[in-house]
Amino acid sequence: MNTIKHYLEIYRNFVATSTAEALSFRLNFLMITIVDTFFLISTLGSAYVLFSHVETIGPWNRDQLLFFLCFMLAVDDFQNLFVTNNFWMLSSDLKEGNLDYVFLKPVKSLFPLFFKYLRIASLGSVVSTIILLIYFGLRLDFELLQWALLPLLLLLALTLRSLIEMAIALLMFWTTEGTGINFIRLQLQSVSRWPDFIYKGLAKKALLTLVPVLLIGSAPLRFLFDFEQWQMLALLIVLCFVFFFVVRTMWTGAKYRYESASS
Amino acid sequence: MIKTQQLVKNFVSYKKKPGIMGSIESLWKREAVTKNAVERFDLEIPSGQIVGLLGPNGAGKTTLMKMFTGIIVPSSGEVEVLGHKPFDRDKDFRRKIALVMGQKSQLWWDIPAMDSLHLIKAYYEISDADFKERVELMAELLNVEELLHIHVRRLSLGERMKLELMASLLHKPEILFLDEPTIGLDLIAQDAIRDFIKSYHAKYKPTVILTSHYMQDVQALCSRLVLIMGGKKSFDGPIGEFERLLGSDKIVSFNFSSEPSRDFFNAFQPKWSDNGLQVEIAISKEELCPFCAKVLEQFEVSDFQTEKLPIERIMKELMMRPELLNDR
Repeated sequence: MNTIKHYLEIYRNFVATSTAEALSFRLNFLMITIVDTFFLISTLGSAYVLFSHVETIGPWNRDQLLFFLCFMLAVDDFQNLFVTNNFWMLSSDLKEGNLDYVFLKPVKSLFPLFFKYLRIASLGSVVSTIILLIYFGLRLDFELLQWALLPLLLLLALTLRSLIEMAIALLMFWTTEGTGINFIRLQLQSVSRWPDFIYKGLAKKALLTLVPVLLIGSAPLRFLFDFEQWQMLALLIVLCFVFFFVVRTMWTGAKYRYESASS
Repeated sequence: MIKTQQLVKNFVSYKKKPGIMGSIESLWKREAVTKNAVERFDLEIPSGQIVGLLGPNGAGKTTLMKMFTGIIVPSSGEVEVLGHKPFDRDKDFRRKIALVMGQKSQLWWDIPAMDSLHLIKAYYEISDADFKERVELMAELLNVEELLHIHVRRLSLGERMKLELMASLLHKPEILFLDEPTIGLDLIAQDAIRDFIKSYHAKYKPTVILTSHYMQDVQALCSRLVLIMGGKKSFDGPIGEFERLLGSDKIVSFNFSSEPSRDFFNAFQPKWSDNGLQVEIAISKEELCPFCAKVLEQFEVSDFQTEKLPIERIMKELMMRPELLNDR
């Protein structure tokens, strides 16, 4: 079996096991769906409140900003669906030595480490966010090329977000306790939910380069709204490669630090 | 097959004084404590053997297993398993080994075991036909056919351990590492696990490295024992040799209907029960039969038995008095 087929088959089984697990607890499944929906409503509601007082925020009007928020919510939801649960599990798995079996499997260990658990309950939220994204795209009169680019840009944004958070999560191999690390992740997510132009000075520079969370939403959407603004998108693509190598380098150090746990 | 040379593993931990002040002080001042879990360990295990790694808690058995399987990195020294350096974590190497840990699970807790087995099938690229055949065979041997579709969290410890064994053997490993596979199990479940390992080994001849605190496991399965004390190898040899480690005397106990004369037993270091109706003696193999015949003839013996598990007594004695090993 070739490597890609092998990994896809394993991933198919990750989906199956995570689905089986999620549907074992129907009430929990329902509660996560409800909480995700509330989050969606409150995020968009805040923007509506803001725009009841102002016409524009920076260069963007209400529909552009709502489209941006929906884009970021879609990145959140896809990340929740595919990766986030693994960040939450990592600290306890590290402390309790549950990564032993991850290291024994005949695949690159990073793969099960970050993709083993899916949050299937986020599926409902993914669907509703995509519907809203399309709705606000229609209000912005997107052309065919813009619609065609949208999934690709979403994928790029998701890739950068996930790579940044993987690099942050790998710090748990040094800290062991993951609460602080997860708190940093969540704070950076909050920061990235607003467009880059609301930030100023050194903070903005740092958030566009060192910890480039502002690129996640702003870079793809600046390009989507105006094809001449491609520079940030180019930076996002370069940083995807940079963070890929950061994650790989950190992993080399991290796996040496794993000491399992006494039994 | 497995070869180690001067293998060492150290763990560093920190001491903390008790209470809030101790916690605050530990923010800037921590006293590091280095524990030598495994010290200059040399070992060679050829293919197909079942070897028991014995030792008290914290002796370094599990640490050794984790170094053999590539889960943790040795601090120094060499280890080679099936021609691989375990910590290189070569995929081919990982396909050839399996580890079962009595205190950890690779089965997903909240779903039936069969779903986890399908995931393992994908990991090891097992064909549909092989998967079906192996699952059916092992499920029958372990008598777990009915349990495969029940959520793992609903199963008893013994049932879960049987399924753990299945999950670990699905890819037919060449080496099976068993770390306390019968821990916490009732006698019936322990027997079932032992019987399964025995028949699996007879059929497929994998190398098996077993750690256990139950001497019945060791007695039933292992031909060779390696004793670890304080991270160092203290004994390595056949089980029969281990049984003679502290002398070849047999331990015999007699139960009497009425109190016998104690003087008769004085030459054999007798240990009397409080009521004086039971005695345990240590006696040489040569003297055993004639002496027993005399006792049966002269006293009212209601029951007598020779020791069933001499290794258990020897282990107990060595754990209480490790200095005995220095006297060998």
